[in-house]
Amino acid sequence: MKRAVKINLNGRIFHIDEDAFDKLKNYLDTISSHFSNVEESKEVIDDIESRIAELFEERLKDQSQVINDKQVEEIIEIMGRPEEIVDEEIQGEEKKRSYESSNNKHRRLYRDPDNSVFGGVAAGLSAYFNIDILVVRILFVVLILAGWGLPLILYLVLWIAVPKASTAAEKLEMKGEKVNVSNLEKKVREEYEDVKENFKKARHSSAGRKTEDTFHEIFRIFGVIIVGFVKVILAIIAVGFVIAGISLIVSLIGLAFFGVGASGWGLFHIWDADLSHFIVPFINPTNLTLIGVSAILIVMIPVLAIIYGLFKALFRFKAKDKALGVVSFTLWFFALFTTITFGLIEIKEYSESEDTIDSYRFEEISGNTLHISMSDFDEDLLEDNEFFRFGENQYLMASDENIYGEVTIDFKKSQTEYFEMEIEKASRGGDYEEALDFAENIEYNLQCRTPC
Amino acid sequence: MSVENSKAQMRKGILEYCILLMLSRKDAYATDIINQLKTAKLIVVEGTLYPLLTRQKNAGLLTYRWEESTQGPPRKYYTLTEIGKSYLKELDKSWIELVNSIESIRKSK
Repeated sequence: MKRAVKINLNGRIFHIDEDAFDKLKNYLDTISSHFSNVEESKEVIDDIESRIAELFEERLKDQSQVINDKQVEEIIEIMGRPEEIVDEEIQGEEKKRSYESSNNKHRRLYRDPDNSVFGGVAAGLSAYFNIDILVVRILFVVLILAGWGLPLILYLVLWIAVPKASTAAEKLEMKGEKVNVSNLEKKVREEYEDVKENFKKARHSSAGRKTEDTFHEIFRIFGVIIVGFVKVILAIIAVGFVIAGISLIVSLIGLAFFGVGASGWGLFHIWDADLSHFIVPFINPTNLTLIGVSAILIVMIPVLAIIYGLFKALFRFKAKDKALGVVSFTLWFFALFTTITFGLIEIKEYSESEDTIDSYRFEEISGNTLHISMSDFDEDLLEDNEFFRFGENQYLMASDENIYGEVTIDFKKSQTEYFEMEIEKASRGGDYEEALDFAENIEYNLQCRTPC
Repeated sequence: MSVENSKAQMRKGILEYCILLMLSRKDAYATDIINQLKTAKLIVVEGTLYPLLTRQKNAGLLTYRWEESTQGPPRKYYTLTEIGKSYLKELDKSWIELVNSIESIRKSK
């Protein structure tokens, strides 16, 4: 059983089985890749397509018959191999010109199937940068070892995204001329020669346009130089972005796996404390992991997408990345949804606040002076542990997993004839009851010298 | 070096001239031209013709118009331009010269 597809050739619909379709498409693509001029290529392909439509029509008994492999081969036989068509196209001056233009073609990054071990990425890169393939491979291995295997992801992404050089033209393009400053200069010079040539022709045809052409020439040269400079600058910016993006990703992954310590980067230095250490007692660990991972994805996917786009622009490769895009977008959206959902769940845990008051009346204390002092304070706590601020108050996270809070003391005139003390304990929780429960569970040490 | 190759090279040189000749008699669309060239055994694979036509058109020797057809979609009818006509005259001259010189070489002993 074979699948059949419907194709439109010059306005006529044909049914064609998949193998035959691939063969035909490959044939037309190969022909079109041999042309240096896009418009010319399109025109010739259109003509060839309409002839192929005619030939199919002559051969089919009725419109619903499915075209098979053999019939496509027969058509290719009649139309001629791409080499025959193109070889005959290149004649005399054309030959010289198209030779030059194929030499002038900028390189594109392809995977090289002829020298591949896995996907041919290293071989493709070595062709692109014109470095020995061994050097590229060693570099890859060193990078993968040094980067904890992370560059492996880069390799996989390149494998998926970079197209394989399958046709002869693509293989040529893979090894084409590299874009660099000296080439740019050459290009400018060539443009200049072209303009001079045109100028000469124009002068022969009408002397009156002389001045106009001189101006035109000057403007064009300026234009070419400016465009060249802008391209170089853009390339430098793009490389900068790629480096910045990669370091951002590395730091995000670092944050995800190891947390960021007090000695870590300034960006996360807000609490003077280990961020993960601080957050853990307050958030459900499962939710924390989910939120953490999806938050990282939310940042990472667009960064990766930008890096990928820049790579694509830098190396000028054509990629079939629609599926990749859909998957990443879906993943990103899912991550956003997860962060918002679990973020809201966690926020709800702190939505209500409640306080409770413990009241004491010191009936036994006589006299008119009350001495208050701090007792049993373990000075070591201040040394070894980390502080964080939350709202107005400072807290201390101790290694014994307790959180010590700051106490605010207020003195007021008592309403009765005794010394009285009120301890107000406040907490937040998912609802009033929970908040109250938490508040009541706040512990404190109170000692009286005299009985109380 | 092979006979087939030499024959192909010969055909190649005169193909351009033949297309212009045919179009000077009557406007035609690609399949007409192909059939004539095939009958004359001047062309082996059909694909060769299309780049040639496009190149001649881009050089200003030909233009085309779309014409409705009784079977199927509209067809591209090619016609010679003024430049094409004078170009053809040049080729006519050089063809006669070529034939004369070759004949004289062939007949000389």
